[in-house]
Amino acid sequence: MPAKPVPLRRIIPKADQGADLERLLVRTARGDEGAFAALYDQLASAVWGLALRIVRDPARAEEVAQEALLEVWRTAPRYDSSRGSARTYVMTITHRRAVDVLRHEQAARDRDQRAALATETPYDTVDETVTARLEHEQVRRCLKSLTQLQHEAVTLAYYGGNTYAEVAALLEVNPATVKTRLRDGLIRLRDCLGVGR
Amino acid sequence: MTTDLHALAAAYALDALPADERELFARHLADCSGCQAETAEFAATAARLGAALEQGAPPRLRTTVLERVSVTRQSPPLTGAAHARRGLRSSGVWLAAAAALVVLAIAGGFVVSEHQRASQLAAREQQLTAVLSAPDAETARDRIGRQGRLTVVASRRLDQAVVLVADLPPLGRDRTYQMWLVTDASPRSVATMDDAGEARTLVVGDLEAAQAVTLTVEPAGGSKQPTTPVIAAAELA
Repeated sequence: MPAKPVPLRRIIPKADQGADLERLLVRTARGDEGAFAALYDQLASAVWGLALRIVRDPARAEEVAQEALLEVWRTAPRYDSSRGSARTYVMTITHRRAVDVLRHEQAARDRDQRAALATETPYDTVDETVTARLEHEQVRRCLKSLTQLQHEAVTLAYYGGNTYAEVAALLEVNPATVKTRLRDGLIRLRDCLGVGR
Repeated sequence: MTTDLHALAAAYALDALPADERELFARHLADCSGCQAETAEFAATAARLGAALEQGAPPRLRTTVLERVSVTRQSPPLTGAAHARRGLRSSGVWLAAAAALVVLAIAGGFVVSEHQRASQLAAREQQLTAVLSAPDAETARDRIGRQGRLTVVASRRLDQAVVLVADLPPLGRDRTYQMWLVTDASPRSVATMDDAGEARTLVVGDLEAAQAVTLTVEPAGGSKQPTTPVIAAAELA
């Protein structure tokens, strides 16, 4: 495989990068468009990548990404850093929007197709920076640490945009079982990724 | 009675709850600071799953977004008053549910002491959680008019149901919505709702052999029995 040039970016230690984002979001909340642009530059690829994964179609993904980022701008004054990081704030808005769009167009999608697509894990990214690749690897490793049943449930739910009832139908198990797997899977992921420490 | 809120918090954080259950859980979350910490960790974990998909966005996205931002207003910040108002609003309808639980007739408003209200709120929170996260919880839904929704999450084991009513079409001042629990015998009135539009949740107990939760439009003040056809019905499993 020919060597692909990896864009060099300054490797910022995670803590500083996080602090930068909180400060940028707080400034954004005061109407600072420059701060928002800087926030965009750091988070747009995450927003885009997730939107594309959920809705699949690039045109739709652009709409989702746009609306999600606009929502971040509009609601920044309500952001409370004690509730979570700026990155979590932005990703939460993005995922929710993408899933809402997906469900709105549910009628047009074949359920089997969604199931097949949804079982892929995130391997196919391009143009990764070094830090992005490290993060990608860590998430992949932690997803692998789940039981197959937990992995299926979490993937179908988060990456597939399915409700727990839909996951239950796809896996042919009890909805209560799905809820338990989602919980146990998320706890394992949380601990593996070191969230909240 | 054990409750497993964690089961719901994970589904919520993964956006794996349908819209109405999400709303129910979000409303509960607003009143439960203990639950917020757990859910925040789950949300942060989910965010890591999403951020791992990072890839270069199309350059025109930046241009478009920044252009739109320059002409878009931001929301006002949430003040303490706004926080408090949210909590009080959701407690209002519980007064009707309390009456249903102890099978008392509601005759206009009645006064509740501060202490009673605080313990009622805490009890309501627990009940809401218990039903939503019960292993045998079943959800039933119906539409009301064009936009309105009736959602019922019921647990036979707990013999309780959480009812969400949202986006009801407004009525004239001479009429009110009334909610009924339908059994083999005559329907039992659960609550009346004058205020259309506002979403509200209700905890209904003593389901026993009830088959459905229904909604009718009655004269203001409510009726002893439904006098008009059912406009929405959610069957209990």
